[in-house]
Amino acid sequence: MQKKKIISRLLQMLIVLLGISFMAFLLTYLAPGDPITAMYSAAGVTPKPEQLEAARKAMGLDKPFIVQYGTWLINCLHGDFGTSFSNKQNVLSLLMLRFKPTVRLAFFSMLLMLAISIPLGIISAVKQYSWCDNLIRVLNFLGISMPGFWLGLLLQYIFALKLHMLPVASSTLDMKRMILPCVTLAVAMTSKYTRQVRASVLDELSMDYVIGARARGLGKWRILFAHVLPNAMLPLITLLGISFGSLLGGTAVVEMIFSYPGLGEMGVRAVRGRDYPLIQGFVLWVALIYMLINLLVDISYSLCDPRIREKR
Amino acid sequence: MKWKEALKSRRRLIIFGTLALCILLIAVLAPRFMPYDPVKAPLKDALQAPGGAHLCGTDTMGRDVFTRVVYGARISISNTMLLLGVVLVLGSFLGVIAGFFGGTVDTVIMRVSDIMIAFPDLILAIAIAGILGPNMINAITAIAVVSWPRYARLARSLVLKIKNRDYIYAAYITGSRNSYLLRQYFLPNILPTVIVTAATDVGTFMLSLASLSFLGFGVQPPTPEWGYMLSEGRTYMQSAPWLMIYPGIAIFIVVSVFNLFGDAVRDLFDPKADVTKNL
Repeated sequence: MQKKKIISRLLQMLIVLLGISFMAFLLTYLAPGDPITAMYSAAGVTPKPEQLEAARKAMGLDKPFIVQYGTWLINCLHGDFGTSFSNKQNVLSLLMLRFKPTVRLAFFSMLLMLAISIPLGIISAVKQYSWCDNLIRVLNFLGISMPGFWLGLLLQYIFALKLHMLPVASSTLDMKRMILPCVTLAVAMTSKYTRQVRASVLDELSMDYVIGARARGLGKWRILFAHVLPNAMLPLITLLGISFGSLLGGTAVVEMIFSYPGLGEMGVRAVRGRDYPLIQGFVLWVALIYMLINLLVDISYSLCDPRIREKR
Repeated sequence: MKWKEALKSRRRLIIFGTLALCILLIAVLAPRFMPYDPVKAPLKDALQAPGGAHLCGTDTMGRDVFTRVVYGARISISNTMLLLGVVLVLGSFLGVIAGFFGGTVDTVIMRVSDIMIAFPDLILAIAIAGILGPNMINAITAIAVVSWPRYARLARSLVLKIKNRDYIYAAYITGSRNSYLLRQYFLPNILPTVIVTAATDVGTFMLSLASLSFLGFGVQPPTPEWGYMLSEGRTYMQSAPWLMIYPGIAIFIVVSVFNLFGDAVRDLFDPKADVTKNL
């Protein structure tokens, strides 16, 4: 991608981010009940009316909406996302604290998913319409309809409660604890990717260059691995970027089931507890990460595919 | 023997359509044949294992799990249809307006949709549903708010595709009004594609609603909703696993049937391309 194009994409991103910040702020403004009461109830205190009034003044809630938004936005730009209502910690540091476990979970589940879906997709495409292919396709169909939260519960029931092989939830962040959430997320994604791999390998196999390579006497496996696969993997990049971006936003449901200390779990807790600064910070952060990843994907895509580089 | 071939090519549609219809019938007729009440709680029957009088056991309040699972289909299907209707109407309306009028209207609608699309799946819906307060209407609102852009973009692209055709110009020159143009030419052109897309989305919407309820941002007790039943059953996983097994099976089966039905519908109208894939 040209420098100019990247810069214009970044500018567009800024505009969208501004919109998102406005929306995040508006959300808490629209909420029934006021944030001060929410703050006190999150802290578990019943405030006196004078206290409410004083706190409202101190937080600038008596000012007009636009002024409030402006102040908040300027603070955000200085890296100050405010203080969480429920545990009085800095929102940014809370986000950072939760980000690392989420990155680990996202990374390993993507790895596991690729390890399953690429071979399955290739087998399915190479042996099209064989019993192998049919079996894989039926499994895909079932996988797409499988609710992630139910799968998580079933895995928890079987492997943690019945077989006692893995912990239901533990306080340390070790590999053992990550296995079940990882598998749940990976299985949930596998169907989509297996389908995609199958479709793009089939696409490539029908190209003329495959016939050419065969005519030149290249072996079947050589054609598949040296020529077809690199081309077939290209469309996966975009899809991978989107999945990775959404995993980094924290997968609320799976993280909740396994009480995994990631962003999604924190987000759900924040929403439940009406912890407004934390919700705003979380929403902004997730959107930022998601958009950045998508931009990186587009850039890397043009690096990997010479045709797009030439076309400009 | 033409009808025989037609029948054969529509085999999948017929099979899955019939299954979907059966599920609908079960949902509609549930109160007529279910022997227990899904909400009333005979506490003395609490937590009975499956078998005997209670095919799938009873829950912590003594309610029959099988009855609640069957009634869950009513909740799930009616809410999904409501959501689908809202998203379809809202999304197509905004998309058609954006594409038809262009200019500022287009820019505003599309930029707002960019904002909604800048979020991974459920994150924004959770925030909206949670902040508005947990109930089913708010959950539906939340998912509608994050889902309309996909339909708006689809409708807009379809409008743009025919906007510069000669017959539209001809109609315009002969003095057709905007409302007539929209009704007579644009709507018939976009509706089939949008409806087919909606048919393939039924399963996804159903899962989203169940997810929100599972997290506690959807229906409230004692409504028998599958997602909520699962989150209730989760607490009793050790002592009463049937509480989390049967609602899950129900979601799985119903979502599968609707997904397969949606795919069959799409294949019928548009055997080659999946239009929504590139949006």
